[in-house]
Amino acid sequence: MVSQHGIKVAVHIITKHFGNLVAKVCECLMRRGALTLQNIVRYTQLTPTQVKNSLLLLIQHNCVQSFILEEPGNCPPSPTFLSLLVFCVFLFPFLWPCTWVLFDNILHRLRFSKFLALLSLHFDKLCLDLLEGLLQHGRLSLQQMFDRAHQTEGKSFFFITYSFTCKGP
Amino acid sequence: MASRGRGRGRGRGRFGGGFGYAKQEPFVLFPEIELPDAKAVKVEKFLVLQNSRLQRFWRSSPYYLEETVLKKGQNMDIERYSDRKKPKTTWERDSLDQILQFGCQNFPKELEGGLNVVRRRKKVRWNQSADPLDVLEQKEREDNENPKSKLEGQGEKENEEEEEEEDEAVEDDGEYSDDGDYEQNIDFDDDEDDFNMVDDGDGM
Repeated sequence: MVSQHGIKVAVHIITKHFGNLVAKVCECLMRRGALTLQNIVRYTQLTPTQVKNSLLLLIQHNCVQSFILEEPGNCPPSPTFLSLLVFCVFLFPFLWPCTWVLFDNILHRLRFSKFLALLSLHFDKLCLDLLEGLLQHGRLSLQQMFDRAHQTEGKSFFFITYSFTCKGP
Repeated sequence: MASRGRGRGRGRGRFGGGFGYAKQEPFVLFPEIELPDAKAVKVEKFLVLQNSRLQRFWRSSPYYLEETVLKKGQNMDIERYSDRKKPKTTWERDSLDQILQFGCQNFPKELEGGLNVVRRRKKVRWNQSADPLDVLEQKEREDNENPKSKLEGQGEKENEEEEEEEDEAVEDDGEYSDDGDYEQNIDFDDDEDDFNMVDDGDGM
């Protein structure tokens, strides 16, 4: 269980990086545990689009994990049951898709510059750029990484594939 | 109650070994502490630079969500002196849809719901551009059908006028009529400027 100060730090990091709206959703998830979309909208008092966008963003940056566990039967879980899920998410299967904050990943955001510094000691600038792109965007497909590299540096396709195949860790 | 609590404490102290009463020490206001050497701490400029760079990126990226984005025309208030600190130009961020890749189990379907319309549009366009021959055939059909559809869409009077014009065209093709301008309407438009007649080149 994350302490009060831990939650404050995490919310501060998210506010700095993604703004107040996302931080509000994130704080709600951290204080109340795994929640459905409807419940997040209810607790944060934001519009559904705002909540959807901020959840998409948090999932993109691996700060939040969404999951759904299906079980035969159509009885929706009660609110008290949902609050219990904070401790036993994977033990009790339920029907609605929920989201869950990955606290460690949020704290790791402070160490991004350290990751880059460590990588710069062992690899060349191209690898550094690729990792920087991944840190900036959270997750990227291979095609997106190619496009980004083309746009920023104007590197040729060959060099990128070379770094992927030969110099990769 | 109080005596019971004390008894318990004594018991623990006796059998646990080491848990007795705390020994009183004299209180020192500012005790001497050896601080680490501040000059020995290395200033890591690379970390600072990278961190600020990342933060700057996120702040200007589509990932930074703001509550309301006011456009230029929307601000109806009078410009005040206190507004001088506000940013004058609002740059447009890219939308989240441009970066996020939906449809490959990255995101739950529940969250993708609001963005279905855009995807459908894109899909339709893509299908049209896939088979150029089909597109051309469709265009031909549309061109053939268009005049009829136009006639259907317009009023009856216009229909009659057009039919007359078509009849005239048929007549022109078949036999020449000597009636001159008599058959033409009053407002017949023969693409000539009546007020500025072009010279025939006589030099007059």
